[in-house]
Amino acid sequence: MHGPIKLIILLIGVIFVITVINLLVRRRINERNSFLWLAGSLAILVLAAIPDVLDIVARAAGVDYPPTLLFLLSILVILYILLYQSIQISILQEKCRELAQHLAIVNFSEMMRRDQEPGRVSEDGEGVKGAGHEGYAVRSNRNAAR
Amino acid sequence: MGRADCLVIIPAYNEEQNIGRVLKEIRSLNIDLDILVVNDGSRDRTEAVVRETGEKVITLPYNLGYGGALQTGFKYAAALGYNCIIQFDADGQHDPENIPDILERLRTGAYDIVIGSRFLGNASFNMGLLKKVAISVFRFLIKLSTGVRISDPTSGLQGLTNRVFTFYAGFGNYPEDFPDADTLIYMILSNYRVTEIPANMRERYSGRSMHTGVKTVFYFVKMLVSILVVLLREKTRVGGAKQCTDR
Repeated sequence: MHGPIKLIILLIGVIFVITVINLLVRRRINERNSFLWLAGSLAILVLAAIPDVLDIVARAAGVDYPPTLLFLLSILVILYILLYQSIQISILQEKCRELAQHLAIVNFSEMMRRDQEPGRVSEDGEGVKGAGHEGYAVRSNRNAAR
Repeated sequence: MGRADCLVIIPAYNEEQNIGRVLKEIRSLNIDLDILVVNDGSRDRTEAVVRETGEKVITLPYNLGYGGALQTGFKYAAALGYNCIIQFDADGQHDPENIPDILERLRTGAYDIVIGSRFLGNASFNMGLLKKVAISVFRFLIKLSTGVRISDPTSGLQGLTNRVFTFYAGFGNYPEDFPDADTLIYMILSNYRVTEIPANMRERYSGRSMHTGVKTVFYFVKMLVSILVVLLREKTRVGGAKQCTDR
């Protein structure tokens, strides 16, 4: 790797690192999620700065054409990141569902409680002042959070 | 306010045209039952229609799907300590006349899950070929993996005892879109006792069914994967603590 391409890759690596750090500073990505990206961008930097590393590793691994090793590793890392994201999405979906159910039940219980209070006509549960919230998450959430 | 020992859970998504009639029919049975409609983020007047009848309705903030809506009902029933629940469809396909039969079976104490089977009753409903094949395969897989013969694993008309729905109500214990053969296999392997009663099925009053065309094929493949996962889970659980059944 010589000349302009080395410079370009170095530049890309630097931009990548700055972007990830910037995202971290602005709290757009959390530390746990940023770790993989930081590691990835550092790898780009190292490879751009010292291309011989790739040749040495490739020779040790028995790879004839070193750039293919680079592609293989990059694809594996990307696959891992994708899988990790899918896992996170599944977990989030499950949690969202749990929250939605819990919220719906608590809302319902609250409405029932209001309806049962003497002297109140509140079909829609609105306009009830001073109803108090001591009975808020009523019996319904006893088991819901288990 | 007196409370019955059994709760009928009706998940409803955009069923304003059917739900009123379904509720009326159930009430005309004159059995001491509580009814809970879980309004699954409907965009029509489902919630308002149920309110007008004076029945309970829990409204979800967004559409969770059939399984998610049912599980909401299970959570509610578990929190209030009902003895049993009956899950019933909002589209008018289920015949309320079957509710007393299910209750009777549940109250014998011999069964945990009572399924209203469309294939044991007077099958007065039409089913596509694709669906028929799919159900036959599920039946075969249940028999193969558990030794139990279930004629209608896909039926949405089921009665469950407290033990069952309390388990279903737990985090991650119920499939999000549609509980089917996978759930049944899991429950049978976990030593829950399942039985069937003949159930009458009718054409839905109005609107379209949940499973049609390409969706059926996708659903079928997804269910095969789910069943495989359940069996694999079961394999890895054997020898270890049966933590799920004993809760």
